[in-house]
Parts: sequence; structure tokens; C-alpha cells
Amino acid sequence: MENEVKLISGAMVTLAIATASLVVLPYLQLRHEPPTPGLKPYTDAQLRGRHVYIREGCVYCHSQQPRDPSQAPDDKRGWGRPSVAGDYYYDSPHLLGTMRTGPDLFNIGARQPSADWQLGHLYQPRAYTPDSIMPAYPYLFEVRKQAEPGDKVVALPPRFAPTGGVVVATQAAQDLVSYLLALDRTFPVLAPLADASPASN
Amino acid sequence: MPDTSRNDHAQRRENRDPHESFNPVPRLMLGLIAVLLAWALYYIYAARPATLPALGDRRSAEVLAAVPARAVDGEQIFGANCAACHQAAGTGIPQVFPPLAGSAWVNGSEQVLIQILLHGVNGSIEVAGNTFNGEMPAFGDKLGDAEIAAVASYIRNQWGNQAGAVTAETVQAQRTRTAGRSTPWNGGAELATLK
Amino acid sequence: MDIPSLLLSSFIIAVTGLFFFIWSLRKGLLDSDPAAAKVIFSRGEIGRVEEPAVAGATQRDLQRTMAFVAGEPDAKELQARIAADASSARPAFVLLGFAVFWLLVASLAGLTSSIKLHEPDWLTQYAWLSFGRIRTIHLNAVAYGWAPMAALGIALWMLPRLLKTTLEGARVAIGGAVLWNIGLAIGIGSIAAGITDGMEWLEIPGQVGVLFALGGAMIGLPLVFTLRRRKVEHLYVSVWYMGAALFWFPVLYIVAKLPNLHFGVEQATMNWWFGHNVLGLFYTPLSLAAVYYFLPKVIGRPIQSYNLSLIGFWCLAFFYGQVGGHHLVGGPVPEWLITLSIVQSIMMIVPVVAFSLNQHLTMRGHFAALRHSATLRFVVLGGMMYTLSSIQGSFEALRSVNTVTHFTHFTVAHAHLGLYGFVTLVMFGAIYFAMPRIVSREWPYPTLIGVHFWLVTIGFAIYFVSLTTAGVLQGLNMVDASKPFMDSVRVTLPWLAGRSVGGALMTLGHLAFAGHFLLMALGRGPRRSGAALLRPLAPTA
Repeated sequence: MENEVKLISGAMVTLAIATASLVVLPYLQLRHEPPTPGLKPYTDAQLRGRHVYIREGCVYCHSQQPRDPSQAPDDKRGWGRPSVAGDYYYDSPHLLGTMRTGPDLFNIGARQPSADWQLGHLYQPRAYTPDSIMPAYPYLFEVRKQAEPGDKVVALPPRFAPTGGVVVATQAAQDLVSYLLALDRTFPVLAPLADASPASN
Repeated sequence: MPDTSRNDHAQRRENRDPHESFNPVPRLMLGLIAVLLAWALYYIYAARPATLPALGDRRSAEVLAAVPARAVDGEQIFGANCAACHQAAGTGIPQVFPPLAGSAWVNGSEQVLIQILLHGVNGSIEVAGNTFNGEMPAFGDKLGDAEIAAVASYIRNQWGNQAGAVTAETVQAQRTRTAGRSTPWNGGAELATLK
Repeated sequence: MDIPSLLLSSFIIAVTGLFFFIWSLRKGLLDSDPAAAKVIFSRGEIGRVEEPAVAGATQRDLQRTMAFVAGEPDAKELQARIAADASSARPAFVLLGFAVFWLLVASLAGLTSSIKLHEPDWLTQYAWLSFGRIRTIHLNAVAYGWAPMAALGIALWMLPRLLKTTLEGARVAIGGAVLWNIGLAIGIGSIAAGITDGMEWLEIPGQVGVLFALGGAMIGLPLVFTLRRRKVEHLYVSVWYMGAALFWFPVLYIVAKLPNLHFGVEQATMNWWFGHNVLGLFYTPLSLAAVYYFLPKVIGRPIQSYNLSLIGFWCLAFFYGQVGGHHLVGGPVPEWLITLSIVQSIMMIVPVVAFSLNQHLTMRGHFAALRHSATLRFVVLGGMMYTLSSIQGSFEALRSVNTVTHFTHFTVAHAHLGLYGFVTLVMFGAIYFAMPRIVSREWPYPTLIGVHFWLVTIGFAIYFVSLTTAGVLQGLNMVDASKPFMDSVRVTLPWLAGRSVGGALMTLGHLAFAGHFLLMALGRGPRRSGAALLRPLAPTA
């Protein structure tokens, strides 16, 4: 090759084709996709909690995208039906995730609705789930001599409870739990979509 | 201009800058390209990726369009919804989550057990000699009658528990009985009044 | 037309166009000066390929290569080379220095995250050290620190040599490097403090990204201007890869960071379009450029085939860009897109085999040189890892394989085979060659190079085997619904610990490398003459 202009233009054409396929076409196809009926917008507390989820990097170990039962038994683990584009209407940035060092959380709110469990599990996962390798998040909690009115106290088995004090959840921990409990997508996808194939425009 | 003070031994000892010779592409390479292209065309043709773009990759319409099909398998439901707190062996967590193994609430009246599952419990409850003061969530709006029956039957026959199975009809009857309720049962005290 | 037919026909059209384009370049049809096509072959090199590669000849060749000057080289070429190196020395040194710094940061952050996966209660009191943040710091220190600084530093040093000219705007490039690294330091600080854009590979906040854009432009533009004042007719294959990568990366980054544009699932496809292309269209081409330069350079033979280079380059440019969807197989993204990405992932075998054949046929008969030259060892091993990781990646995209390996440590092991086994090893080799010419001083301790090589090679072998095994076991447990989820965690524990052992060895190797680099930069240690060889050459007759 002798011509640098041809080199660069060729290179930009190939990238343009890739961008068209992976970014522009999905953009055009999904731009007007409405939220799945039954999906609620996040409340302020849930959005704050979602931010904690992002900040702590939960997405690096937890996906939010169950696969179809024809591919993998995600539904049998209680992770729910396969997800569709409309389920992510209110999600920005997206938190699909590509790791399952821990379980999928698309329906964690439906599957594990106990706030007590969520809080204690964040404080010390191994208190409730032996052998778990999830990090403990002690910095989302405070240890106080005794609880004050309005404090959200975390119940812990004796082995994990701090000596001479109680564990109290901070606002961040409570927000995170309210986000997790909102992850409940047990509703079905739009009925008129029942005829899913063949697609044509 | 080159800096004459620099030591250029390294530059002097190296080979000429590389260039390319004009050897033909091996036949093997051309064959490989042909095979891969043929495979690619076949793959796209055979895959027929016709699902609606908004539904996602390889979605089965019946799973999405209907009310999600739920396995009515007590063990699976227990594993997905209950085991995190009550533990796989039904032992619970000391001072936090009550045990199910040997619990009078599990082995006793099936009506009360169903009511606990439907509405949850908030407040002090004594289980197997220990008092617990937590909050059990309600499952009435998350699980159907058959599922509650399956999971109740499962826990009544595990870990040494030997109580009778629960039917979906009983669950349905109990659901109707407390249809107006929207709050959890207020601890063991209120549950005791149910029998 | 329905989607499958559209997909099929556009694939046929695009691929046909691609091969016509390659064909035209081969024939010189589109070149402005048809005579130019002959220039590459006019030096009588056709005969050299046939040169019998007997052991004695190899030895003499090597002797000439690395130990003694067997007769003065062509005076004009030597002068151009010295001038090129003098013009690029300072910016290349600055970039490589930053690269080595980030390599250490990334190694320590990576090792910490690795240990945390099997010792989850270690150092949990500090938010910035929690797994989710320190892992992200590791990724960003590699992705925006070590890899681009090393690759751009080497590109900056190679390009003037290959174009027989001097680097234009060296000071601007140094300024750009400083800006970029200030941006990176702020970005990594932000992640540690919990300020992030939240998408994998794109965590550094967009506001800080402006510094990357500015710094990147200040590093890239001198290279573009240098390209314009080249004094050679033919562009060598390394130049293609570097030139294209310099234009690809800004587009990727800017499109990815456009605010308030991406949404939901589309954001996810964009995320992996970016995530895979930053590997495929930035680190990979820059590293391939280094392999194409250093391998023939050290052994003193021309690259086997210009035509193979052409196929390798243009097929990479075309196929690689579209593979990103394979990160979302089974996800809520359009099925046609997944199908396309799977197909293009398999088609990636074409450029990979073209590259591998080209390297192998060039190397044939010269493998003995691996015993002596550190550069060659790292570069050749890196090139082999490129082949392995790419072929692995192609098959990983297939649904049957993906169902098991997706969402597991297998993917992480695969990513490291590419970014470490390939990119990082090649960069080590390149730095070993370039540094003596940048600082006009030989490496002071050849033994340390051997220590570095064996620590990282053995360390990485342990790392890769452990983590791959962990991933496969994890995946097999996860697709078996009769097993509780925790089984898929427990089964990985011994292998995750093994990964930490491998990672620790790699980190030790990096410390040896960084220490050596620092000694050389500061002018400490014994002043040696002659190349730093891993094994001394036999005395010659």
C-alpha cells in the first residue's frame, strides 16, 4: 500500500459498518420501545440505591439478564423469565452485567424480599450464606453502643455480631436495599407480542 | 540532525528495517477462507434470526407472552425464595432467622403456615424455644396457590419434619379467608389467634 | 424483506466488497502510481527468502544482529535511523515511563482484587479497596494506562524509523502524554471515590474523558503529521496498523461518551461494541504493528508475504469491528445482531491465520535465535498468544460454548490471554529493543531480563490454566439446575487461589522489569557494551 488516504478511508469505512450494525441499527430499532407494562419508574430512594450499586461495582459480579429457558435453566434458579428490551426502559447506565460470580439479580426483589436479609447480607454475607465470596460492606454500616429511635438495626448471629454494640444501617445501605427490593420483574411481557415470529418491517 | 553526542552503537548493530517479500498466499489460506465463508452463509441461513428485535436473543414467545411459567417444584421454590434466610438445611440463623426443621409453626396447623406464607410476619415470634424479632416478607402476591402448596408441603416433609402435605385448594381457601389483609401478621401473638 | 434475508444479503455484499478491495490493493489498481507497487519488491529480496536456513547461517546472522557490527550498514539508512531515533527519544521515553508506572499500579490492584475473591473479608473496611472498585481501578490502569502508553510510546518510536523521517511535534506529544496521564490519575481517583459512569471499560467520567480526548489528540496528531512527511514510497504493514488504530480509537471513545444519547439495551450493545473494539481496533493493531516490526528486525529477514499482510489487515479491520455482540449472547438484544457477531467472530479466524502464517513462515529456520534475544522471545511468544486467544475467542462466541462459559471466570481468563499474553508480552519485547536506542545505553543487568521473562511466563501460565479451569467448572455447575448456585462458587475456590499465585509471580516479574527500567532511566548500574542477551553467543570464527 502506498496511499495513506486510502488506508485511513478504508479503515473508517470498516468501522462505520461495525458502528452501523452494533450501535445505529439497535438505536433505530429500539428507540421507540415502550417500557414493559407493569414496570414502574424508580423512586428517589431506589435511584439513590442504584447509584450505590453502580459505585460499589456490583455489576462486575451480578448480571441482570436471565436467559431463555431454551438456552439455560436461569428460570429454575428463580431468576425469572428472560428479559426484554422494554424491561430496561428506566435504566441508565445499563447494568446488564457479564459475570455471575454471584447470582443474577434481575428478580432479586421477588426472590429475596426480606429487607432484614438484604441488610445483614450486605454487612457480612458469610453470616447468612456460608462460603459466600461476596465482599462484606462494613463501611455501609455503623456500629453504635446502642440503637437510637429510628435506627435500622441489623440482626446478626452471635459469631458475627460486634462486641458491645449494635450494627446500624446507613442511609446508603437502606437505599441500596430499596433498589434491590425493587428488582421484581415477575410480570409478563406484553400480550400482543405473543406472536414473536416471524418479524418483518 | 542527529545528535552526535549520542551513543549510537545500538543503532549501528541492528538489521535493516523490515520489509515484505512478495510470496503468494498459501493455498491452505485460500481454502480456509472459502470454507469459512461457506460456513458463515450457512450459519446465517440456518439460524434465521427472526425474533422481534425488542424481545432479545432467542426468546421463546410462549415464555414471554403468558404469565411466566413457574415450576411447581417445592424444592426449587424453597431454594430460590426461602433458603437464603432459613438455610438449605432448614436450620435458620441463630438469633436472626428462625429454623424450619422441628418448628411447631411448620409442623402444626397448615392454615397458620399458609397464612404466614401469604402475608408474612412482623414482630416477636417464638420458635423452638428461641424468640426471634424479625420481619418475614409476604409471598402471597409472588407465588400462586399451587406454588405455596408445593413449598409448604416440601418444608413439612424435610429435615425430620413429618407433617401432611398441603393442597392448592387449602391455600386458595386461606387466601379467600384473609383477602382483605394487606399487612403482615403481628408476631406469634396474632398468629396464635388464627387457629 | 425480513430480517434474516436482509442480514444474509448485506453480509454477502459487504464481504464481496471487502475482498474486491483487498484484490485491488494487491494488483495496485487503485494506487495513484502503479509503478509504486513494484518498489517493495525491487530490492532483490525475493532471493533472500529462499536462503537456506542452516544453523550456522542463523548463528552468523544473529551475531551480526545483536553482538557485533559485521561491516558498516548502509550509511544513508543508518543516518536516517539515528535521526529518527533522536527525534522520537524524548516523547517515547515519557510515554514508556508512564506505561511502566501504570503497569505497577495495575498489577497491585489486580493482585488485590484476585486475593479478595477468595479472601472476601480481607481489607473490607476501606471503600476504595473494596472488590468492585479496586477491580475497576485495575482494569482502567491497564486499559488507559499501561496498554495505550506502552503501545503509543512504541508506535511513536517505530513510525519515524519506518517512514525514514523525523517525528514532528515531539513536544506536543510530551504535553499530550502529561495531559492524558493527569486525566487518568483523576479518573482512577474518581473510581476509588465512587464517582463513575458505571459502564465496563467506560467507567472514567466523561468530564475527565475530555482530558483523554485532548491528550490523545496531542499524541496522535504528531504521528499523523509524521505520516504525511514520510520519505518512503511504500507503507510497511506496521504503518497500516498504527495509522488505522490512531483513527479508530478517537471515534470509538467519542461515540461511546456522547452524553444523553444511549439508552437501555442499545447502551449495552454500544458498551460491548466499544469494549471489544478498544481491544480489537486499538491495542491489537498497535501490538501487531510491533510484532511485524520487531520479529523481522531481530532475525534480519523480510516478512514472508505482502499479500498475507493485506488479508490479515483488512479482514481484521472488517470482521473485528462487528464481534462485540458476542458478549451479550442470550441477552435482551436483537437476535440478528447476536447472529452477526457470532459469524464475524468465527470469520476472525481468517486474519488470525493470515497473521500467524506470515509470522511462522518468516520465523521458520530461525527459532534458535529465541535462546538469545529477549525481544524475540517476548514478541514471538506474544504473537503465539494472539493466535491462541483469537481462536479461543472465535469458538467462545458459538452458542453451545457460550452457554457454559458466558458469565464465568473463563471470559476473564480469555481477556487476559489477549491483553496480557499477547499485548503485554509484545510490549515487553518492544521496550527491550527500543529502550537502549532511546536512552543510548544498554540494559545494565541482562540476568534481570531473564528473571522477568520466566516470572511472567510461568506466572501467567498458572494464572491462565487456573482461571480457565475455574470458569469451566463454574459454568458447568451453573447450567445444571439440580445443583445449588453456591456449588458454582465453591468449585472455583482452589482455582481462584491458584490464580492469585500466578498473579503474584507476574507482579514480581513486573517489579523486576520496572526496577530494571528505572535503573536504566537513571543511568545506574554497570555500563555495558553490546546487546543484553539472555544467553551469550558462542565465540565466532
